[in-house]
Amino acid sequence: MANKSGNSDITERKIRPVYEAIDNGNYKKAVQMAEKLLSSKQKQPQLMQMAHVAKGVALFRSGKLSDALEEVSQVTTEVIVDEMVIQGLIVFYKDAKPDEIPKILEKAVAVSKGSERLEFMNKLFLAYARTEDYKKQQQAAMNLYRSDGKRSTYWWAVFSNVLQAYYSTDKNLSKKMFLPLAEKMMQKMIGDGGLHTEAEILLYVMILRMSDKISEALKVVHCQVPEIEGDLLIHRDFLKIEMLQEANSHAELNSCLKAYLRKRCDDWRNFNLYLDSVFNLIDMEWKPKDNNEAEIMPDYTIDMATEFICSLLENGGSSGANCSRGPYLAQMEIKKRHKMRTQGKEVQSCGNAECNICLVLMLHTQTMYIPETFNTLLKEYFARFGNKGCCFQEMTLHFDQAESQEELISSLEETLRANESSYIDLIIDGKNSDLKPSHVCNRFICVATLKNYAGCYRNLSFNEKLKTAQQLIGYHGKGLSLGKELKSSELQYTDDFCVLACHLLLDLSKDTDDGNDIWHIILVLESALKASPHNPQMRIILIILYCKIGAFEPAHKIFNNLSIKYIQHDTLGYLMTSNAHRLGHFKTARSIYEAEEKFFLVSRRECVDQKLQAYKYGNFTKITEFIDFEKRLQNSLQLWTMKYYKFYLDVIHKSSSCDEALSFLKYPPNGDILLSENFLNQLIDGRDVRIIRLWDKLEPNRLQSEADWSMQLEILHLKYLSVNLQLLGDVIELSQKVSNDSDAQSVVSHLRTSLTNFIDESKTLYQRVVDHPGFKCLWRWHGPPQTRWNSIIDGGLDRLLLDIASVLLKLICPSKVVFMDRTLIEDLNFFLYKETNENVGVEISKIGQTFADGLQRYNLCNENAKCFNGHNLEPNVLLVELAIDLENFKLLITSVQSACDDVVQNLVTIKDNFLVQNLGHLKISFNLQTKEQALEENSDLSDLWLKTYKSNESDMLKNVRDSYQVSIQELLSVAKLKHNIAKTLSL
Amino acid sequence: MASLRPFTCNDLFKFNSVNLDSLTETYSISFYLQYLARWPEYFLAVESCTGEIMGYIMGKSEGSVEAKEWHGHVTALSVRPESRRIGIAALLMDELEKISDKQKCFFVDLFVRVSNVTAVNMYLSLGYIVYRTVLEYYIGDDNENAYDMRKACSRDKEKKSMIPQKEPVWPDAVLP
Repeated sequence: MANKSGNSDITERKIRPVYEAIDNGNYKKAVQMAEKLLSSKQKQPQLMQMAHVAKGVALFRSGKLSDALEEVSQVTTEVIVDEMVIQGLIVFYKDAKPDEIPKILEKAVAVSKGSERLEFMNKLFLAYARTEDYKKQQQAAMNLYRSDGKRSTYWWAVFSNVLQAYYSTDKNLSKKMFLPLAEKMMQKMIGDGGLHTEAEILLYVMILRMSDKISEALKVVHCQVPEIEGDLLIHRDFLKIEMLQEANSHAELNSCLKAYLRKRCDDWRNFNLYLDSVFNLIDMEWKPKDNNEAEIMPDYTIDMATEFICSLLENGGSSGANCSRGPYLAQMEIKKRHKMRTQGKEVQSCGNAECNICLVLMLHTQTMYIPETFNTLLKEYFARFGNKGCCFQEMTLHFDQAESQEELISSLEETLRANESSYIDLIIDGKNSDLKPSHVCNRFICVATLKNYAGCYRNLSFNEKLKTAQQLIGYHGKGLSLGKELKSSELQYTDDFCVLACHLLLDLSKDTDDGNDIWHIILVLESALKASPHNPQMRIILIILYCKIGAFEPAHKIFNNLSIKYIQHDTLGYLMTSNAHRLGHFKTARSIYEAEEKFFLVSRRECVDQKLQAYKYGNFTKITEFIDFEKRLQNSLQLWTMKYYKFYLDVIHKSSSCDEALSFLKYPPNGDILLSENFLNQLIDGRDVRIIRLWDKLEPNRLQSEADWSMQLEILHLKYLSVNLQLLGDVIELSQKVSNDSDAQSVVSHLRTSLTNFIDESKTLYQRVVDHPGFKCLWRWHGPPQTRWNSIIDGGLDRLLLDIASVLLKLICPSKVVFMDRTLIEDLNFFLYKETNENVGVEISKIGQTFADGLQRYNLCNENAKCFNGHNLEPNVLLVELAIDLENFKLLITSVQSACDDVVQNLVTIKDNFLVQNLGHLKISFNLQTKEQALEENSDLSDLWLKTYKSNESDMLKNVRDSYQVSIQELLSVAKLKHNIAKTLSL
Repeated sequence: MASLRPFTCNDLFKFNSVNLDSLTETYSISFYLQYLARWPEYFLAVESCTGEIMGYIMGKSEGSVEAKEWHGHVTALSVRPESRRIGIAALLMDELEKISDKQKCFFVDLFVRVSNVTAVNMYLSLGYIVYRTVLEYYIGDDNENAYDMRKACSRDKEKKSMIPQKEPVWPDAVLP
């Protein structure tokens, strides 16, 4: 270590409390402690440097980057060779400015000697690796290897060449320089003593593979190393299969997969690859050579493949509880593939009924290598495996091949009745007690979900669908008695009945367009959750439904109970972030954004740290994976949406004056307020919008389209926010300059440019949105969150903003404005009040009308009664935000001057009404006829209706009402805040 | 149908159906990456016939060879609800045991909540024994004890590593 004088121990003891304070988040205290050390009389250099660094870390963590950099610069002016100080600087710079670390270490390497120099060289390599300077890290690694002669550092140099090839935009340079060099270096080391470790083999394979030398790589992948006993590790098996595919070595791949399948025949990936290879060999008309020495002969005909599958059926145990499912599915798969290959190849008869050629051809195309029909095979599959939870998903692989889906479904239902009496008998009478409840329930659930998959429920009438849902809810309720012994952490056997019923009810809700139906479904799920409190599907559906009715708080509570954290902020965080702001929970939105931002910040550091660990352990193949993973996280759509919303919240909602808004606008998350197309195009959507399990075969494709559209529309929405904020920033900044700047002409010219840009950008943006195929589509409830564009455009907010900008532009038209001694505002006033031409007058009137329409539409529920409905929350949020925008335009237009007054007054009325209402308008009911039928036909639902009528007393409704109150209160306080600012402005 | 394959970083974006289970912990990025960086062979996923993650296992090898404590350790094992009771956990455990065998380990061990009877029974059926009880190993509202369960690898021919300890221990006795 650098300092062996004993001072290090003392310094360490003195500096440790400062870092402890930092770790505890007491940055202010840490700064004070560091300052105390700096002011001590005894100026021990190491301690002084450490104190500067620690103070810098504390300042940085408290968000004062420039102060922190200045503090630390007092140390870095000198050449540092003290190990402890350098370590402190690395801790500081790795977050604040990683590029500085190599500079410090380069100086330290230059002046140090011996083991100390080796230590710094080691750190220098890692510093370059941290900043992804592959060329310099390669040089650093070679220098280090020349000094320490360690095998591990040699591999660092080899791998640095690989990285240069991997990330080079010049693929020619990669192939001709970096990869050959890496391979040569590899061979040199192997020549000196062979491959020693698993990691060395994988590195060599990586180089050969990237160099398209697959056959050499396949030889290397088989190398034995002393550290592994016996067969290869699964990673190398996996690699081998991938490379055989890449090399189109179908025969070898086939033999290899046969060996794997004999060991484990439930591997569907291997089965598919095996069948791919069989059909490739058939297409190639491959035949074994006379001297074929393969241990396992490849299968190159359908007969051989069928025989192989049959042998697996026999050997894999065709009976018993644990018999393999793979060969049974493979039977269907080979039949399906054969059918697909022969389809469209029907023999065109020459007309002669006795033509031998035609007869042979017909015989060939009609050959059924597996004679049973798909219906028979699927029934057999269900008979064997219907008791397993995976049966539904596996049967869907070939369900579409069934000769008659109707016959199949009724046959499966018959099987249930014939073999297991009936489900309800089992529960009520306790008959068949030798059957496992999970097995019985799985069979019934499998058939119900297959019916859904086949579309049996899709086209049912309203009443039929409702009745089916009631039946499923009944099955669920009865099934609960089977699962009384289950622990609360386990799911009830019949939970899926309830979830499927909710899917059907949600379809009904869509058909009736009656939002009130959702209340029923919430009640069903809340009730089911009492028996199965950890069912994730039910909880996520509830989150979606609560947000659908505008009640954010209950949704947030469920989300918190799901313990969603870390990487799930990226994948599932959207369930909250897309709703918190939209539903007027601005404070919660802020805290969610902050938590998410922290995750992304920390994850970046952690990815880099672990990448360096992978270097240390020589697991090079993971390093590119880590680099790509980190990039994906940093380009996350969720991260940037959340950052921009937080920025928007600061500017629009948090700032209590124009000055404050301007101070927020000075620090946009991406450096510029306006987000560029290049930046937006590189965003990656990590949102897991497939979290809801689907049982309808049409849904996956629809969902894919919706996911793509959602991503595109979210990006356009980010652009929308940035365009609006850019204009807002320009208007505030320029209007402030007017009072100081004598050159008003220049200010107006800038304002005109800004307004013109805004109008052009906005028009293009709105056009892109209305032309987008996803706009106006009613998305499925389970897919990505509905875009906010519908509310913006339906509410006329797009037109409103354009109108305001157009009016402003006309008002400052240079041909009509004579700027003499008056200020900009005075000029604008002059034209606004005295010389407004007719066109402007029309537009002003239009703006006022649009705003009034919005208030009317969003807040009147029947005739003249103002009341609140959760569905109206989002338009209200947008309206308040727009009113705020208007405030920031300094209410230049008389017709809309009262807009903010209206909003505030309106919200006060809603709030007052809301508090005295007994939520009578939230009563839940399907149409009366249906409801009466339901009560007659199914007593299970009568409880539900009763609960519904007692809804005012239920906890659920209380939670919803509380949530609405928070929304209204927050909207009101924001509106009031802005209203107060408006009052301070003078025209 | 279950296809075994190495776990990759990108699987972290796809494992929600497994991790939303109430007994499955979602760890920090560095925790997963640390295992991928150091013990990639011990981190495996099982994929369904439609490519979704049905379950995964993460583990490591650690301990002193001299003290015959060199062993494979199961850090996390989880299977999504709809893929349970079809042998996925057994498949993953079997593979981890094979890896530990190839790494010349003496035994494989794991910790499980004493209340998680389903999991304890499954491990017993796979040949594990309760080696000892670790007091208050799981920190929470009610600190819960863990069973330290073990199964000998082929290197431990006499199965000495599976002779149970009678007295329970505190967590500091088992943490590295």
